Amino acid sequence: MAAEKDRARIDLALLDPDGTFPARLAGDRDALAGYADGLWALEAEALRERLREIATLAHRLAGAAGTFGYHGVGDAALALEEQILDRQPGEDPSVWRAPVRLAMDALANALEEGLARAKR
Amino acid sequence: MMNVAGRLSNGTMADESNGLSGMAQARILVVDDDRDLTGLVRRELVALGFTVDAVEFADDALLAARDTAYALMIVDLGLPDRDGLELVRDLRGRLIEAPILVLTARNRVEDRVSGLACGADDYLVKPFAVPELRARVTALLRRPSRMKGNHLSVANIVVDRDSLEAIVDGDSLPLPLKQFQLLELLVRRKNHVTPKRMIEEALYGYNDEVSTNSIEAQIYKLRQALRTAGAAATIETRRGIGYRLVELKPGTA
Repeated sequence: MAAEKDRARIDLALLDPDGTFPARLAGDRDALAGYADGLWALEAEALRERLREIATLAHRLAGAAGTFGYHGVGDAALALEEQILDRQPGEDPSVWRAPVRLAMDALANALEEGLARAKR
Repeated sequence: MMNVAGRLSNGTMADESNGLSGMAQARILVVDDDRDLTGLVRRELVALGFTVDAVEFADDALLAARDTAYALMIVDLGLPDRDGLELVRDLRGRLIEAPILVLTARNRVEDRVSGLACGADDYLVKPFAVPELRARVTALLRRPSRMKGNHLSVANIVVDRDSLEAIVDGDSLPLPLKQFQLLELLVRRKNHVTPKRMIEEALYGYNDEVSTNSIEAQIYKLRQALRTAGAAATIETRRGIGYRLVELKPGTA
């Protein structure tokens, strides 16, 4: 277990020798929290636009985080992007609000875990 | 407005110890607006001995590819100004032959197929493992030139090796085979002097009878044909050294 942790630390150091990627994770965590704030009170058009922005953030994070060794963040970001893209424009929001909210929470948690791991 | 040279970020490191010395110094263009990923890709490629230019926008990539003969281009599909597939299509439309490795988070079969159909040579899905990136880059650069595209161009001259046709300013220029081969050689070596001996070896077999002035005669005929067709390039003679195809300055055609 200790050896595995050491290897993971070495991998992160090799992929991100300047140690700048955690700042990106922190920025995305804050952005996600900002997007979540008041999300479900938005009117339909504004909600669609906000969800598009969240999907874009998730899409970029899904590509980058896994490559930098933060696989939990990458997987959660991909799941969130898919939850949003799978929604149909005319669909009843009450049907999809719960799974999208769940996926957003999961990504927020994964980001916190990733940041905690980066500090270790 | 800042020109593309100003927006190109460049990194290089001389390292001949990686067993890739034949590929070292090759220039690679990375087109991606994710700076973290671009930084990682650049670091890896520089460590392999490549020179790396990076841009974030498709339009800057087109300008960079017009001005520089890249050995390879790595293109992300989610660019801020345009879809990366459109960029790939545009690059191929401009007869840019460099191999293109598409980098994307889209992993559906139809995405991969359309990327390749647009003219990309390979596909790497994000997130990717760095050793796989290295392997794909070196594999693409090992491909023989005949697999990297059959259209060559200088100024308004295009040599289509598939149809053995020369095209000047969009119109077909019928040429005898030897002149076509000569044009292809000069286009391939654009801006470099091609020694007469190299031309002889390219145009004639060991058993062919080659008169002392046959190369001069072929050069003369090809030069005339290009001029008559309105080519924006001409064959320059470097006395005692060889020949070179050079673009004409505007107004000198």
